[in-house]
Amino acid sequence: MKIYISIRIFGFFLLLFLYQSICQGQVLKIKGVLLDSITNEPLKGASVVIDFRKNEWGTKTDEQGRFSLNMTKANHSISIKYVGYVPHWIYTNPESTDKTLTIKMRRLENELEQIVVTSKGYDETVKKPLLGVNQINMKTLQKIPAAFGEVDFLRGIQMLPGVSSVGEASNGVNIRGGTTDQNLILLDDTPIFNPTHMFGLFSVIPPDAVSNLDLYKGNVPARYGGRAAAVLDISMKTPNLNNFKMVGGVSLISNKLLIETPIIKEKLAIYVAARGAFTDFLLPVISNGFDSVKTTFSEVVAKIFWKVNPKNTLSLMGYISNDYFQTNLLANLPNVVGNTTFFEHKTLNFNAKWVYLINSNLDLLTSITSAQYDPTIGTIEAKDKNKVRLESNINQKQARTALNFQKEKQKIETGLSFTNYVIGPGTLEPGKSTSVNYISTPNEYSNELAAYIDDEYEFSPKFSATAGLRYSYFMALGTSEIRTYDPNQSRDDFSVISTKVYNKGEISKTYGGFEPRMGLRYSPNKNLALKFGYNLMRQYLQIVSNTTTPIPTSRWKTSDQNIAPQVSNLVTVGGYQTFKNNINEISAEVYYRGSKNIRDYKPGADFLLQRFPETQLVQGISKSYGLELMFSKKKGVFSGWANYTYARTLNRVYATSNFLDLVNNGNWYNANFDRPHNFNTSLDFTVDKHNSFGFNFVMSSGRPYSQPVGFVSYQNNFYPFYDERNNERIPLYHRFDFSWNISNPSMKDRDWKGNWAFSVYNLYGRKNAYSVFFKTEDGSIKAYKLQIFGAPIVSLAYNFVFEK
Amino acid sequence: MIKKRAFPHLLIFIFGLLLTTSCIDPYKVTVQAEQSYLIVDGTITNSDELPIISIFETNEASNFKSSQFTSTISPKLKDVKPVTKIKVRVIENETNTYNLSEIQPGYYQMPIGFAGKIGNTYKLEFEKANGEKFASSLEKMLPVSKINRVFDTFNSTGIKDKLADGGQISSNDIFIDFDDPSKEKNFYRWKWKSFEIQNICETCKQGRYFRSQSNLGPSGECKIDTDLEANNVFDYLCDSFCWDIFLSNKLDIFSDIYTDGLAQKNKLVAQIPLYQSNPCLVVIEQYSLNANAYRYLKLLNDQSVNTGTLADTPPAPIKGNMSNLSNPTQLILGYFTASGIEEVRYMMSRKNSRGAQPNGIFRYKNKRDYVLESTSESRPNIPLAICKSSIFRTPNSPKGWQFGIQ
Repeated sequence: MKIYISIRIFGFFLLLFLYQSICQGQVLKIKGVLLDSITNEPLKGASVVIDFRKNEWGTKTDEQGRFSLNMTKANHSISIKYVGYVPHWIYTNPESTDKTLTIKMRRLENELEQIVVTSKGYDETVKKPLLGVNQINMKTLQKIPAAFGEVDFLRGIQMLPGVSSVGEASNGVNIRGGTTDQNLILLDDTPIFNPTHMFGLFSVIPPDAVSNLDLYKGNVPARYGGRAAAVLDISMKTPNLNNFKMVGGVSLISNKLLIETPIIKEKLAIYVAARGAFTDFLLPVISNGFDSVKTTFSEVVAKIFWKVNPKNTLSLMGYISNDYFQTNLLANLPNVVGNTTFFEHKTLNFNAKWVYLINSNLDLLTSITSAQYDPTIGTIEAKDKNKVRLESNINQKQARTALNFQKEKQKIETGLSFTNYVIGPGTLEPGKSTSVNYISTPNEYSNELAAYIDDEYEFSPKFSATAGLRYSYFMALGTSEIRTYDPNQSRDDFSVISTKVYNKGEISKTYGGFEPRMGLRYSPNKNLALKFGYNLMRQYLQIVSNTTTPIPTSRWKTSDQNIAPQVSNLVTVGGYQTFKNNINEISAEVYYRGSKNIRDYKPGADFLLQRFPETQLVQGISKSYGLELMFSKKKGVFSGWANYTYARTLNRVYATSNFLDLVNNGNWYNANFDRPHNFNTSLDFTVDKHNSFGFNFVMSSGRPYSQPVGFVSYQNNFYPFYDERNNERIPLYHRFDFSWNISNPSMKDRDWKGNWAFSVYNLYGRKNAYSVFFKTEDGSIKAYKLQIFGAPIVSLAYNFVFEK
Repeated sequence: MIKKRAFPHLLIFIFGLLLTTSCIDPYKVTVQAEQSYLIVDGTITNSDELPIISIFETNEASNFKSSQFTSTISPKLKDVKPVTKIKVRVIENETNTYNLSEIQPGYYQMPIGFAGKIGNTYKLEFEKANGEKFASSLEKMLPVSKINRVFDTFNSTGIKDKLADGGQISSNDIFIDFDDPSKEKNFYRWKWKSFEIQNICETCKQGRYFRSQSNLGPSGECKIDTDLEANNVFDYLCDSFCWDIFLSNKLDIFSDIYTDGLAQKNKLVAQIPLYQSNPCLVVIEQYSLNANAYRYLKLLNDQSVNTGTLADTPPAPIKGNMSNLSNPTQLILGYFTASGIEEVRYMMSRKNSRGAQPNGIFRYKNKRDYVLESTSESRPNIPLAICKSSIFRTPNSPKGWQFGIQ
């Protein structure tokens, strides 16, 4: 066990006689401080008990996580327990001497994930056999200068190597050449289908409730499945069983509040965190033209934690997110006559988790999860303000159980999961309209079963390995109508050979296979590690949308007979060197990813209420490769990182497709998010306890766009015409941000602590292009570039913490 | 996808107002064409007019440069050249062959006596001088619904117009009601044509207008007069009623995918710029399209009009329905199709409109008042100008024109 944690012995010894030392035996004094192994935050209120089984006495750690024990010099077992963390034991014998210990406690719920910290003092990069893993804690994210002062995890992780996006308004990120829907985003085990508010502007997680964010872009533990590229695991805080706490903030965009309180001290606690933006009533003040604009978003997360007894804990998490946007300045839902358009989307997630500590080496985790996402696009008819709604939804339910076993040199996790998907691809609800029909596309049903095992073993201090294996099995179920197409023709209504109807629950198609995951580490010395990783991942659920970045109402589709699941293989090799007691680290990773059955689209693909989406898409292969270099300094007045990534992603449509469907005549073409050169720097300069400055510099190649090959006059107007996809690039992107964080300016140690965050995003006002496009206007064609943040964005946010 | 139409400017807009930082700027670009593309376009209809098919080729080495300040790309005439003197035919119901005659370079007209019929199929075939053979897919002329009601409203904000002060001109918006037939897929397209009274029929720069009479009838022309200042202009009144013709240039299409069998109300089909307060005649044409023609036009629209959103569809080559029989992968632009037409001739009084002058069209288009030549000793009688018939002007009272509407 001592191997797992870093125990530092500062050897100063004290011999004291206390009146409890009844016997003539000498007194042994053990002092210690308890810290979270990742964040180094002190753990307050942990129980430290001597001879637990004999029901002897104990103590609790204080505010700074410190404790102190006096006992006789004899055989004792001291247990240190803190809810949500792996228990720690200390054994003494008559020969033991006084000690002062620093104990780093590891979180229980993601025991296997505690791997690399990019921004905190920690040498695990070198020690663990996993590679391509980043962990960011909220403190780091909060210090990164943010647009509008809204802490945003999606913008934060784009500062890491290998993470990019199509631009500032993208609805998701691209990780190592994956599309946005190839990332599994988990919020306390529940999947998030749409990670942003307001069409890509803000991410959907209330920042104050987040504990950690783990990004797996290389080795992905076998426990995760269902997406082909990467995993972003966001864990929410566990409610504090002892203290009342209130955290809140006000910024230009939103207001937020978190209230955390014990219900039964040391047994049961709850928090509720909410964030909302309801400032649209101000819009008409800006301009009369905005009278009819309505835009709001909000999210609420609540979590209950119940420590049933020292062996059992139960936690419940609920999450709701809402978005609404309406305007009459836009055109309508196509093919419905009306004058105002609105978008609406809701997420409702729920998770219940039971952890049973069988013994100090073994625990059992069981959870059930439900995730519901309901996007709607609609139009308001001029007459009687009737709303015509096109509603769609996706529902995922999952039951999972996992057994975690750990010993000194080995950790094993094994588990089973069952997932059920129900997708409502679209229903047109005419409301009171007499001009629009009620149209519904049938629900799509499917199940996914998975079993996995992950074993991490340290053969020697120099060599360790992790081997994981997942088996996933996917079943597309009825009720459904499945077509078979003539393989020599483009799939459309005319090339159907036969159609088969499946009854409710009948299996129409299955897919499945093993998903090996492997990581090797070899460390010639304690500061250097060389690693190798290999992953295979299968994805049965994906977005089908032919836009550059998915929109909130983009359609999700499970695999079926005509849409094969995406399979991705990733090989990564990396080297890591630390210096100066692990404060500085340099690393280099090289990867190659090959995927099959990726999706691309026929020109003009339209998935709206489309019963047979396979007629709109084509499948193909993708290759991504890259080199990621990173330097980080984890402590000190100056801390931060700089990285350079060279990354390419190329796609190719299967040659077996009908020639009419071939993109770029079946040759390789750049993916929409292919940006070869990327350079990111994020720096934190801590002046004193109250003031720190943050700086970001970002530079990357422009993403590809399709430039016309000519222009023609057609039907009294001019039109561009295109030949090759993504044949040009938009201009270079670069930006500098600055932030000044003032914490607790009163400098008094009170219950109420306020922080000011002043930030300037895009300080020198670079007019970075988000897209370049051509528009037919008034008898001619104009070329434009669209900028999202074309000027410096200055913002000020106030946040507070109240703790009793 | 769903948002295509709804999305334009959505985010631009959010940013624009909430954050006031987002914007759209002109982007300088140079496009160098590398090969020549064939453009074939034409629609067989059931109207009285004889259908015309155009066949052109883009120039192999065209160079398109955006203008300095507005990044406007204006394709030049020399960028396309007509494909002339070739044999073009249209085959009806796969049996009757009609040979087309070239009326202008690149323009081929159906023979006199041809009348398209609903329910018939049409196919275009031609052979280029180098022996390459081209053919379209089989296009069926589908029936088109009746227009039940037409009405107009005055829209003071109006539409974009580069001649207008502030870039916007007020418009008369025309809406229609129609019934969509049930249990069949219907695709629609609307075009409009407007006839505006014009009083000035000729402008002579540094010259004077002279009438003459020949065997072919009366004619007239400007003759340079070097005694006049180089920038002198004289405008001449028309010798008869004269109408300027304006054509729609928007692709306005619709599918009944969500509205099958239902009455459609208040569908905006035309926005007529308010150049003057005079009444005008608007011809609303409702076309039936087949699914492929609709897809083609929708794609064209998506790639050229509905662009600039946060989530544009990556543009792609749009394959029309013409193909080179010996090289099926060749990209050919344009579309050959057949459409039924329902036409409504709507006389619009413009009594509801504000802000326009009577007979204001000349002033609007030329940014000045007209200057009539005054009589002199040498020119005691100033001639009136002929209203020359063209696709943009006619001296013949258009069908449906009602005099006396004020």
